[in-house]
Amino acid sequence: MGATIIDGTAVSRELRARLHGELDAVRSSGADPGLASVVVGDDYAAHAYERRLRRLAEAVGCRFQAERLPFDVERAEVLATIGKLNADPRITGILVLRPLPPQLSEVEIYPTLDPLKDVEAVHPVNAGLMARGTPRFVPSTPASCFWILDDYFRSSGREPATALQGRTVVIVGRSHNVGKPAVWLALDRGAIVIDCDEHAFHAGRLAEFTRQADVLVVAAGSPGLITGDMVSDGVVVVDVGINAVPAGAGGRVRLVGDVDFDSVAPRAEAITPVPGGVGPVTDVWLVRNTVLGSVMQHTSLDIGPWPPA
Amino acid sequence: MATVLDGRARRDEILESLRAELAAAGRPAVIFATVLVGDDEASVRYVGLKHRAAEHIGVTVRGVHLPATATQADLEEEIAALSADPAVHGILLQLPLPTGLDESAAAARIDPAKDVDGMTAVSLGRLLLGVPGHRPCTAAGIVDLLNRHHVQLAGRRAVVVGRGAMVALPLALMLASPAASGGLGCAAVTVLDPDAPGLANACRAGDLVVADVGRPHLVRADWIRPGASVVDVGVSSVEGRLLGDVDPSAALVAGAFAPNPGGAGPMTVALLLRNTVQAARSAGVLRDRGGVAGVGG
Repeated sequence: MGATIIDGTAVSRELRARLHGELDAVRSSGADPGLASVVVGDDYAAHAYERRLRRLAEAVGCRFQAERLPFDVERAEVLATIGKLNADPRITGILVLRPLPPQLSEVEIYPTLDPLKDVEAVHPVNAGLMARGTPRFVPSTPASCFWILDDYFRSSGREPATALQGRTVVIVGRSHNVGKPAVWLALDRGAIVIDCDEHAFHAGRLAEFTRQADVLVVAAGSPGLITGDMVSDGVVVVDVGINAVPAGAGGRVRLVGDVDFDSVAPRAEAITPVPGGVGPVTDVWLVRNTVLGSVMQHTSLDIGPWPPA
Repeated sequence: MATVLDGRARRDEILESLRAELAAAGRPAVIFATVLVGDDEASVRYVGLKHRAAEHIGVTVRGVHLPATATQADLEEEIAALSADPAVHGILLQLPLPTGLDESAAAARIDPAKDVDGMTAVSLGRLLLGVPGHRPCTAAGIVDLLNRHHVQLAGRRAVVVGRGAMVALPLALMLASPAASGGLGCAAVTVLDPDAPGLANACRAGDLVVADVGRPHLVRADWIRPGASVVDVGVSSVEGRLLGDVDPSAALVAGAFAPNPGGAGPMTVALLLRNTVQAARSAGVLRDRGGVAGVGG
């Protein structure tokens, strides 16, 4: 029996419909969401992401503003741009896209974001609220992984709140914006969480861990890392990786995940494909966080930025 | 019989080195402030321990003691004043607060540079993001203790029982990162709730087992794989006796054992003062020696 192939595009469509409703609701209460992206330089993927976000935001009726800065921009100018967006009441979500050029360090730039507009939770205070298990914004990629899982469990007749209780969730990859937040999201659902990364691979022990997974979330950035012999029958697999690999002659590339789909799918209960899995949901989630930001701006419910006003 | 990971001995070693450093620098004015609300017996005792350790190494204590009737505004005002006072280098907010007071909102008033307990959202975020900052004392103390005894964890498995925001979660983050753990860098870290089915088997897979729950002798000796390291953090009071989360007979099986009391607890005090002295170095009161464990990475 083959695996259920989870249709991320369909999940994303439903989430988008929900987002429409949420936008209407917050507008009627007086909030006014707007998302701003900051791209430095002309990285192809960053610009493609910006265009995708603009299309999505405009399609659901959320204001979108693209800030583009040259590759050799001075640090002061980037800070001025962020300061302007922080101060602009029409902007309720700010996304600084990677990669940043060498003269700009993420460590210096992220803390200058208004924490109430930091929709990817890269400001230390938001990362800390996440680490403490009381997130203000859940970063879009891990949030999407668990949204997809919850949706899959519901559609297969299980209660999302309890489907992971006592089950083993293995997370491969420990990035700040995916792997680490995913640990807390899995713990929050009562799972036994095993968190591992390239250290396990180099120790020759990765398969030992991945075989224990009832649910496997892979965000390692390594094409085809997980193969069929590394999973147990009946696993549910969420593949976060998006890797461009050469495809035939002429310098063409195709996108593949961190999971070797052809060998893993026959053993899995369900699996997300690449492309068409987590990616489409992520974009919607980011706009959703912007809507959440507009609610926070409007009612200032939370503890506020440091230093306190 | 296991090597004892003796937290008291290591604490004394750390405090002595801090005392010597301050003495050699001519005893500059380093101020450690504590904020205690109400008269919870255990809290009063813990604050007293921290004061004595600070005074022992030559750090000046400023103890703020508010009545249990203090309002949120009173509390935040006190903390904001300490944050704004350039003479103060470290601030500890003793938890738990009396019911009705908001810990997060109060902690948000602590300047992250003075958050020597490493418990504010900003400090936890800096840990998650892998940037310099004060690390939570108990988690950092456990890491120090394991390193001091040369416990090897690279390529091995750690199991953290508990999901507390102050010890279990930050420790899981630190164990996963070679930079944050002085090179420990476990291959896999399992984190689980004490009520999760399969707790015993999860522990048996651990080369390191840390329990931070507060349930007497929850972790049994036959859950420990021979030679594994065990750190007992949680504590409960049973008929006037303090009992740890781990059955002490686990020490017969383990390769290394941090008992409770006497393991992680004393380390918390040592790391609190190490962070305070580091904050004073960062403020320019002492020469910055750079790269001190517990800060950075």
